[in-house]
Parts: sequence; structure tokens; C-alpha cells
Amino acid sequence: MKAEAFTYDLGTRIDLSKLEKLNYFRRTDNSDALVTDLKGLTLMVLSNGRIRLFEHERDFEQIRDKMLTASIEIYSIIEDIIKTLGLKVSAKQIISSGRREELGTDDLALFERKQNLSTHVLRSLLFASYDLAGDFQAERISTQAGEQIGRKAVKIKKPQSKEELIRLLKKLFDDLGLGKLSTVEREKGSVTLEAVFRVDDCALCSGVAPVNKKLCNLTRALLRGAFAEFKHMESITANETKCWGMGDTYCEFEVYSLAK
Amino acid sequence: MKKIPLGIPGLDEMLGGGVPENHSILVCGGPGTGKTSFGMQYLYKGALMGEKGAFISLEQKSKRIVEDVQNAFSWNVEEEIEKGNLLMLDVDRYNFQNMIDLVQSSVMHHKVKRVVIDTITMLRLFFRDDYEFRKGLFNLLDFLSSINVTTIATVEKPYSVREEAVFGLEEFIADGVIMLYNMPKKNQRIRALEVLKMRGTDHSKSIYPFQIASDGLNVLLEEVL
Ligand SMILES: Nc1ncnc2c1ncn2[C@@H]1O[C@H](COP(=O)(O)OP(=O)(O)OP(=O)(O)O)[C@@H](O)[C@H]1O
Ligand SMILES: [Mg+2]
Ligand SMILES: [Zn+2]
Repeated sequence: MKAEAFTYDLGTRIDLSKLEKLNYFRRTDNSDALVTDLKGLTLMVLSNGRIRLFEHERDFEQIRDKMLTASIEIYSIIEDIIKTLGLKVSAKQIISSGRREELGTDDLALFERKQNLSTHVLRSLLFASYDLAGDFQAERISTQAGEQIGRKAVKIKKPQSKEELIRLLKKLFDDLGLGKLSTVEREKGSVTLEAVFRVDDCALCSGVAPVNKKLCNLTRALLRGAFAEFKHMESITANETKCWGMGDTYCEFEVYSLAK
Repeated sequence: MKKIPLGIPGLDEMLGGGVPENHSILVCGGPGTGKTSFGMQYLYKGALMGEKGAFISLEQKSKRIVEDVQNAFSWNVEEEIEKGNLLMLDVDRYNFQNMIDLVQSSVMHHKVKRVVIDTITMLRLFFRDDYEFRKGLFNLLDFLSSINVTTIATVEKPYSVREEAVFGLEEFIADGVIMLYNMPKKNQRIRALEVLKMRGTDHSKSIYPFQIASDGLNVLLEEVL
């Protein structure tokens, strides 16, 4: 999915209800943002302090062209926002924070909102991907989703030690409803073994029939992505060693780092 | 169709500019014919042009390859690695899924456009039988193409001369095949190469000698063999 926006950062979380008195803004459906239309551009203010400009096609060249004609309006809206929120920054500073932003699904306000997705929906999507795309592609899709989540978590929370990373992952599994994550002490047969994880009540596979497939590629890749991001190193591998899909009654994952 | 230059003087001319974007090309040859150097040159020259690359090493530790290349050639490979333009990846040679994970992550998270797998012959170890191997290889090459990567995969051959060439199933699956030879001539051997196939583009059908020198591989177009 290729989509781009131009984004300014106020550098702090903000209370959107204060901005509602600026009458050109309206609330969006998910109520985490305010928007206004501006000469073919949409200007969106998010509660995380971002001000995002995009257009219909989410195409950067077009955004840039339209920004040129709307530059005075953009400037004065930013001034309004700063004044209304009582922020101690200048509009100039905010303007200079502007940058081209690639939009992806990982921008869907991860960690900012708790919402329960039914396991039924999740598993229906998972099995549909196997049915339609085949085993190989289905695995790749789940892997991509998992990597995104794992990396994003580490990028945002910046754990400083492996212990912190593991604590972060446990909380993440709780928050996302992926299952109950714990670590397994294992005799270090290999110097490259980073950690062994166990997941009970796995959202993806617990209770499924032994279909002779390891089903938890999302979880596996989440762990891999988190370690790769944490260690700033790509040569990390994660394997699922136990899964309900294989006839086990919990999931287990081994994470290795291969020499640089 | 957009062409991706390989960065190998002479060979790019033989291909009318390079290999078609998103295609998978096999570079086949016997021991010491220059397969690893070919792959590294493709990535290094790409990096200099601002195209990121990843080297998946299934045969040697990638650290060793970097050392060898630093010693053999005048290229500053370490600088490109430092800058993040070149990823050197080690992978457990018995796990196919792990290897694809690394490729996928390099492409999706580091915006890699050029991938080298050295050597694909090693992939056979991942599979029970030829059928599974063929299926795995097909899936891999198809996947790489779908994520907009132009791939060079090296293949080990038990021969170095053209007359003895036997083709494996890899050559049929890939979009292009380049053969590297080490041919006996009088009492020495000379390096030569030919483009055996290249889907989607015309290419030279002749066999040309090439050199390996401090600036890498270089095809001598003046001397058809
Ligand atoms: N600077 C140089 N000048 C001349 N020849 C060189 C130079 N650097 C390397 N070579 C030659 O290139 C060859 C090595 O090529 P390379 O390792 O790329 O081959 P390969 O096909 O990958 O071999 P293998 O079968 O061992 O994997 C060696 O035979 C070496 O003599
Ligand atoms: Mg080699
Ligand atoms: Zn599982």
C-alpha cells in the first residue's frame, strides 16, 4: 500500500476538545481527529499531536502542489492551533517540523486505543488467507503484519535492555489480546539463542484442530521484528516450535541471533 | 520495461542496459568462476547508485565474504554497509522460512531493491525432495518479483566448460540465466561468460571472455570466443 502525506508535529499529545471551538474543524468518525478541507487538501489534527495534510490520491507530488496554493491558510491554521492550545512554540518551528510521511496500517494509532477484536474475526481472516492465497503467501502476509507490530513497539517504547524488551513484549501481548506470553528457561545449547517464549491461550491457534500447520506466523514475526529492531541487526531468526495447529496445547517460539 | 544495470561493464551492453526489473537471474558456474564476486559487484554498484541491496549468504559467514571482497577489490564495501545501503545477512542454512523472513524484512523495512542469494544450490538442503525444492524455489522467485526485487541467485555447477553443461530445474524456473566458465586454453584457463536466456529482452548470444581485476568483473567485448 503506497500512500503519503505531509505531516507536522506539535511535539506533544493534545486535547482535541479544546480545538473544537475553531469552527472550521469537524470531528471524524473515530473521534481521534479533527479535520478541515483546504483547497483540495484535507488537514487533519490528531490527538497524538500530529497535523497531517493529504489529498484524495494520497500522492505526494499532488500534495506538494496544493500546499503551495494553500500555504497562507496552512500557516494561519497552525497559528490558531498553537494559540488555542496555549503551546509555547512558534508557528515557524512547527512548519519546520514538516516532513513527508509514508502512511501504513501501522499508523492506526497502535497502543493508543484499546479495542477488542473477536478471535473469530481474526481466525476467519487467517484461514481465508490460507484458502485464497495458499500456504506460502498466507505465511508471508501474517509475517508482514507481525514484523510491523514488533518493530513499531520497540521504536515507540525504546527498551534499554533485554529485560525491558521482554517486559514490553509481555505487556504488548496483553494489550493486544494475543495471548499470555512468558519466557522459558532453557539450557543454552547454542550461544546464539536469545530467548524462548511460551504463549498460552494464543489468539491465533488455541483450541484449533491439529491441521498440521504452524499457524502463528504473526506472533513469530512479531518476536523476530522486535528483536531485530532492538538489536539493530537483521540476522535474527524466530521459529515456532510448538503450536495447537501441530497438536500441542500451547505455542512456543525460539529466537536466535546469528553472528553479524 | 525498466532495466536494472548489473554494474558489470560489457555485460550490461550485452543485455541492452541491464536485466529487466523484478526478474530473477541465475548466475551459474563451477568453483572459483566468480559467482560471489558477481553478486557483490551487483550490490556494491547498486549501492553507489542509491539502490539498496541485501546479500543472503548460505555458504560462508557474511563477515568472511566482506573481508575477502575488501581484500580482493578496490571497493569500499564497509562504508556502504555502514551507511545501510548494503545488508549482509547470515541465515541458518537449514531453514527456508527463516531465509524468506530476512529477505522480506530487508525489502519491506529497509527498502532493499537488489537481492543476492549465494548460493541457491544450498537451498536444496531445505527440502525433502526435488518436487518440494522446485515448489519452494518457484514460490521464492515469484515472491521476490511480487515485492519488486531484482534478484541474482548463484548456482554451483560441477563443471567449468561449456561443452559439459547440464541444466537443472532452476534454469527453467528463473527469468534469466548467465553462465560463467573457466575454459582451458593451451596450458591455462580463461574466464568467459554467456547469457543463456533473458526473458523479456533481447541479448547477445555470443560467448565473451571476462577479467576479474581490482575493480571487479569486466567483459571484453572485442574478443568473441
Ligand atoms: N583482484 C583480483 N584480481 C584478479 N583475480 C581476482 C581478484 N579478486 C578475486 N579474483 C579471482 O576471483 C576468483 C574468486 O571468485 P569468487 O569467489 O567470486 O568465485 P566463486 O564462483 O564464488 O567461487 P566458489 O565456487 O568458491 O564459491 C578467484 O579465483 C580469484 O582468483
Ligand atoms: Mg562463492
Ligand atoms: Zn500457534
